[in-house]
Formats: sequence, C-alpha cells, structure tokens
Amino acid sequence: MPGGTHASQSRRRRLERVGLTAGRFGTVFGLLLLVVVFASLKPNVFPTVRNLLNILNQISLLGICAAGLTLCLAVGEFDLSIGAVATLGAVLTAGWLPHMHPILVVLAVLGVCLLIGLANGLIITTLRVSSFMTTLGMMTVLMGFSYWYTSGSGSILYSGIPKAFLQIGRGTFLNIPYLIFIMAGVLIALHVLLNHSPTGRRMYAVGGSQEAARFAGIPVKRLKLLGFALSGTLAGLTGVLLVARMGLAEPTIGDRFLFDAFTVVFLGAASIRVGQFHILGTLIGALIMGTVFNGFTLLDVPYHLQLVVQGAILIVAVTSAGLWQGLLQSVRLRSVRQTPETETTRKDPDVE
Amino acid sequence: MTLEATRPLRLEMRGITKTFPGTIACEGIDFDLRYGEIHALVGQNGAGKSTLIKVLAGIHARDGGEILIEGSPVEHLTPRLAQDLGMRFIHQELNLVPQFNVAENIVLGNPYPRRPVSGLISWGRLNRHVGGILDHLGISIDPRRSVQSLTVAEQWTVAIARALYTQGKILVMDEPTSSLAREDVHELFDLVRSLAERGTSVIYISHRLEEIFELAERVTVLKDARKVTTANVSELSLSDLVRLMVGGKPQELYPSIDEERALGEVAIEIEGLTSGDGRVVDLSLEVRDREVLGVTGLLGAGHNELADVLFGVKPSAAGRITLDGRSYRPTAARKAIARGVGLVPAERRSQGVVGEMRLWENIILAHLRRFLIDPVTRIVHRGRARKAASEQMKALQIVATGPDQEIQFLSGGNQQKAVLAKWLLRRPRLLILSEPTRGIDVSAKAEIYTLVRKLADEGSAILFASTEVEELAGVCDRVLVMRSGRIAEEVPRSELTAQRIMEACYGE
Repeated sequence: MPGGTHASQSRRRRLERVGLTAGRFGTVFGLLLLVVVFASLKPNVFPTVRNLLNILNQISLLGICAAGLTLCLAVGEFDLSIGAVATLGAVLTAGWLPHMHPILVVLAVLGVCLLIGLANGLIITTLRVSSFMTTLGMMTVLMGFSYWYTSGSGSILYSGIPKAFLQIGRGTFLNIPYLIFIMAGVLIALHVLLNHSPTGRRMYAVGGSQEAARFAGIPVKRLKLLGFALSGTLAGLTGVLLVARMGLAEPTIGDRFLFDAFTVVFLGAASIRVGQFHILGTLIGALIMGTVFNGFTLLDVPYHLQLVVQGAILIVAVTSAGLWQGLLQSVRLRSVRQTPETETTRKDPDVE
Repeated sequence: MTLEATRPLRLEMRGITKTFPGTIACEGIDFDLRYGEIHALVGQNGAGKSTLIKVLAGIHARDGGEILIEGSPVEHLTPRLAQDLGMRFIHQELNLVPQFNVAENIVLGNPYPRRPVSGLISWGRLNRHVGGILDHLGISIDPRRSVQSLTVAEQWTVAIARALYTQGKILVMDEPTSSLAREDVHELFDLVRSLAERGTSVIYISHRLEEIFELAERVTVLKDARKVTTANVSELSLSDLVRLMVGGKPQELYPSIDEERALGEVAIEIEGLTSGDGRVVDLSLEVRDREVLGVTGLLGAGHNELADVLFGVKPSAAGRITLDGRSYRPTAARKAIARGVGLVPAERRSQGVVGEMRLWENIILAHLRRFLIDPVTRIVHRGRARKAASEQMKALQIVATGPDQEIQFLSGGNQQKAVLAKWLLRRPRLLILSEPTRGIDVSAKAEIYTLVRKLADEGSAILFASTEVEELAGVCDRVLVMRSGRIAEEVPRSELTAQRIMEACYGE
C-alpha cells in the first residue's frame, strides 16, 4: 500500500471503532449515566431492588405495546392506531368483564384487536394506501367508537370487574409483579421470532428492501399483514392489562401509548443495531423511558418538564447516531489528505 | 458438429404476445435457450426485452404464445412457479437487503437450515453452507460480511450465488455490467462462463454491445416489440448488430467534431479541489467555452464525485474555483444553477427525475422562477411553462404521449433527454454530465452525443464525466483520467481512442 504508515492506519481504524461503538452503544451509556445520576441524587431510594422492580412494572405495558410496534416497523410500515387500539381493548375489556368469563373476555378482545390489525394490513396491502394515512384513519375511527361505547356510563367503566382479574395487574410471584413476567415473555418470544426464525428474517427482508423480498419470492403482503396483526394484538393486550392494573377504562386511557411506544422504538433503533428496529433496542428504549420517569418522580420534577426531557432524549438519541457518522467522516478525511492513496482501506474499515 | 446436435433446448418461447393499454409490448416473439448456452437479448429501450423477461418471470401474464420448459408446456406462469422451474432473475438493481449479511442475502427466499428440535435457524450451518457455495463458485467472500461493505462486483457475485443457491437452471441477467468497473467485468464474465460450462443456461441482456461478442454464443435482436433475428454471434460484426437494432441504414453514433475550431475563454478554473468525502483530492483543471472536457477513471476514481461537487450537491473541503472570472463556491445546487451550471446526474431515477411528476413539470423544475405569473403571489404560469417544456420536447424529440405524461412511464433514453431539456431551457454556462448514457439505448445515446456537441458549438462549456471509454473518445475534445481521486493523465484529442483512455485508467 503506497503512502500511509501502518501505524497511522491502525490508529485510524481504532478511532473508527471507538466512534462506531460510541454510536451503537450511545443509548446504553445514556441509560447507565441516568442510573448513576439518579442513584447519586437519591441513594436510598433509587438503587434498590424494589425500585428496579417498580420501574420494570411501570414499563411493562409500554414494553409490550412497543414490541408490537417494532414488528410493524420491521416490515417497513407505520402503525399509528396502536394507542387507539389499546384504548379500545381497555374499554371492551371493562365493558365485557361484568357479563362474560374473564378468559373469554381476554380472548375476544385480543381477537377484535387482531382483526383491526388485519384490517389495517389488508387496506394497506391490497388497496395500496400508505400505512400512515390508513392507521391514522383507523385511529380516529376507533377513538370515536371508544367514546361512543363509554358514553352510556359517564365515560368511565369500572363496575363489575372481578377481583381475580385485577390480580393480573396487581399480583406478584416471588415478589415480582406478574406484568413483568408477561412483558418478559412477550419480548423473548418476539426477539426469537425476529432473530432466529425464518419468518422473522423474512419480515426484516421485507422492511429492508421490499423489492428484494418480492423478487426472492417472499410473500411480502402476508408478512406485512402479520406485522399489523401482531401490532394490533399486542396493543389490544396492552389495553386488557391496563384494565387489570387500573381497575377501570376510559376513552383516553391508551392514547399516550402511541407517542410513548414510538419514542421507545426509535430510541431502540438508535441502539446497538443502528437503523434497525429490534426487540432488544425496544427494551433499552423502554428502560430509558422508565428510568427517566421514575427518577424524575423521585426528584419531584414536574410532569411538564418530564415531557420536555422525553422529547429531547429522543431527538438526541436519534441524531447522535448520525453525528457519530459525521465525526467519523471527518476523521477519515483528515487521514485521507495525509495519506492520499488509501482507497481500499477507506471504503471498508472493518475488513482486515 | 453444431450446437443443435449437442445440446437440446432448455427453454422455448413461441409467439409470445403481450399488450398493455395503448401499446403492444411484445408481438409474436420467439426465443429459445439451449443447455449451457449464453444467449444475449438486445434491443433499444422499449423494444420489448424487459416485457419478454417479465412474461418469463411470471410477473406479466402473456396474452398469447407458448412457453415450454425442457419440452413441457407451462400454462399459468407465476413468479413462484418460475422459481420452482429453476429460473433465476438478477435485476439491475440487484435486490439485496442492505441490512443483511452475505449469507442471509443468499438464502433469501429459500428455506433456512433449522435446528432439529426448536426449528430455529441454525446460523452455523447456514454460514457453512453458503461458504461452500461461494467456494464452489470460486468467490472468496466471508458469508458473514455485510453486503453494504462489498464492492458492486462482489454484490453481483452474491446475487449470482443466490440464484444458484437452489440449483438455478436458467439465469437471466439484466444489465449486469452497467454499474461495474472494467476490471470487475472480466471477473463477472469468467464466473458466468464457468456456470455455462457446467450446464446453466444464461439469458444476458446488455446495452454494452461489445460484451455480447465477448460472452454470448447467440444473440436475439428485438425491435419495436418484434423479433428481428436470432443469429450466432460469430457471424455478426458490431455494426451489423447496431444496424439490426436500429433498423435501416447504419447510424453514425458519434457526431463529427470540427477540430480546427477555436475554443473560447476559460469558463471554469479549478485549483486544488478536495471533496468533503475525500473522493476527489487536490484536483486542478480548466474548461473553456466550446470545449467538451471528458473526465474518467475506473469506478470510484472520483470523476462522478467531481461532478457532484461542482454542482454543489456534495461538499468540498478545500480548493478554489473560478467561474467566468468570479469566485465560485457551490454549496448548494440552487447556487450552482444561479451561476448557470447544470448537472445531468449519474442516478437518473433518484437524482434526475421526479417519477410521479409530469414531463413538463420535470423540465421546468430548475427554472420555476422564470414562469411565475407575478413576483408577489409566486404562482407558476402553467400555460407558459407547459409551452416552454413542449418546445424542448420537440427540439429533443422526446417521445411521450404529451407534456402531461408522468415521466416515470417514459423509457430511460427519453427520461434522460428530459433531464437535459431541463438545462436547455436556458443555455447553460457550464453543463456537467455524469454517466449521461447509462442504461439507455443506442439511438438515444447518439442523440445525446449530438446534443452535447451542439451545445458546445453554441458556446457552453461541457464537463463530461463517464466510465464509458468509447463515448469519451467519440465526444470529447480531451480527456482527464483520474485514479484514486487525482488526475493521473491527460489524453489530448490527437491521441483520443478508447484503447488509449482505458490504458490510462489502469495506469502506469
């Protein structure tokens, strides 16, 4: 290789690796930083097992909902209806529980939400409407339905919910809330699905390059339907669990899940496998959200400020991956000018 | 001993007809393919090649005709069935999933190896299996490498390896070399030849006619939705082939250049230019009025990047540029346009045209301000704009149903002419062309060359960045050859041959 000493090349490579790692693990470092800060400010309350379980319990529903959204984004589509589906799931659960066996209620609610997801998917794949518009429309329709459904009971449904059902949201096993187990189960199952099953890999292929997937004979429409169906079903499950936790349902109960889940999933996409939507990232995103809210609550930071921070964190996380890329580029350029003929190494820093 | 005697037919298409509303795309086309044969399919854009291939792929249902695979007729061809029958299609766009590694891109669409009990993917077996296939093909790429880190040539080999992952019998390659550097072309050809020797049948589509003589045994020429002929390549010359494609008299591809004419003032002078991404390093050159300056090099040598930097769509890091005697710092395309600079970009579909917009809208896009009704409301005067666009369409002989047709439905050559029309609305001070004839047919190429020369004769300065050495030799006044971002050599008009330029590209 003409020009460029071996030492300067290896230094550059090391720099690039540091940069890449910083970009990939930026959110993880951020999470650790948050933990350290909160732990030092509230050493007696924050870094305790009880508080950790508290955080996990708080993010359990968000984690489930965001995991569903991750699948939808993995196939390259948006689902803006998840908040409204969660609300619908909640009001239907609260509305049906007084009249039906809880197991039947849960199955029926999940079935309805699955159908809504499928409807989203069918409209998008067969009528070729953008998912953004379709799910926005679906969201509005469902919001209207939830308001109508609860209007007869003064907007809030709370009577006739069996105690046993509330146990799901409030009970513990080995002092660990059931909801954490449910979230863990969902996340593990979806992680395995996406990363280790052919179906999951094909979903990623569809999201990564729809054309490539189509030409490879992968059933693009069916996988998109699956993404929407799972997104809808898990949003519905979120609604069911909301009732179990809160003991009531009202027509805005799930709304926040739309914004929060998107924040979480995009935080995740800025982590580890930058630019890809993946379950581990979603978990990291949910942990960041949970830690921020928990810490701020302990520090008595007002809610409006929490919202400001939540938004700022998202923007910082998503742009920082790009910033690192830019930094890397300038490091590369400087070395290119010093050692002009390093064409081959410049293109691909990872190949030895 | 003739080929017919040794090798039976693997594929036979008889009288294939396909019509779309308003057009006949294929009319009674016959095509056949033998075992282990490389059969080229050529024709100008719109001649029916891609429709014929899409019929074969099961993407379009045929309106008439028969398809026989290994002697047995196939009725309803679907993409899945085509796959099952052993047909593999490699499109120009390669269709790799950028996020996936080599192994996963190769297994795409095929069954993954699974673990016995859980049914989950066995990554170890997948990597070993893919590694074995790559070895068999004589390709040394780690199956775990990300496809984004591969060169274009390596990406093609991955696409081919995918096609052969499950015993592809018929390989259809559409313009495989349009984005390949010359040295990689030979590597690809070796691979294709060795596949054919082992019995794979190959349908090879290319606009680079020289390649057909290097690679194919037979060639089928299509023109205006019909088959002109199928012939053994050895019995044809390049000009025969061009004549068959164009029809009628042989067409002169390159315009004549008046070597005696005087060049004008220096239009643009560049000193020590380094691009922000380091692809162009410490480059100096000048282009005069009435001059067509070629810039070339192997793929990635920096000539296409130079075009982008000069138009302000890629940042520059150092250097001084003087345009018309005044300092020129292109930091955005808008500023370049204001100084009378135009660019015909390398990536037509993503950078040159807005597919869903009408033809006239595309043509006036860079000059909207000239068509405002008044400066306050800033409403575009449709009538005037359409009229101006229509005049350009007429002048450049753009074939379309009218100025209101969406540009995405035009052939590549006509789209490219519309891109040029955009800059011809106002005579450009400096016109930069980056791979202006990539993937377009022979007659559109000839028209573009003529147009470029005409513009130069009318006083514009032209920077012609291209990887096609033949066209550089045919169109330019002199050619700068770049290697690794720097100018390595200047080839003057008197020495300008394709051979000479190509030698300079390889260097030393």
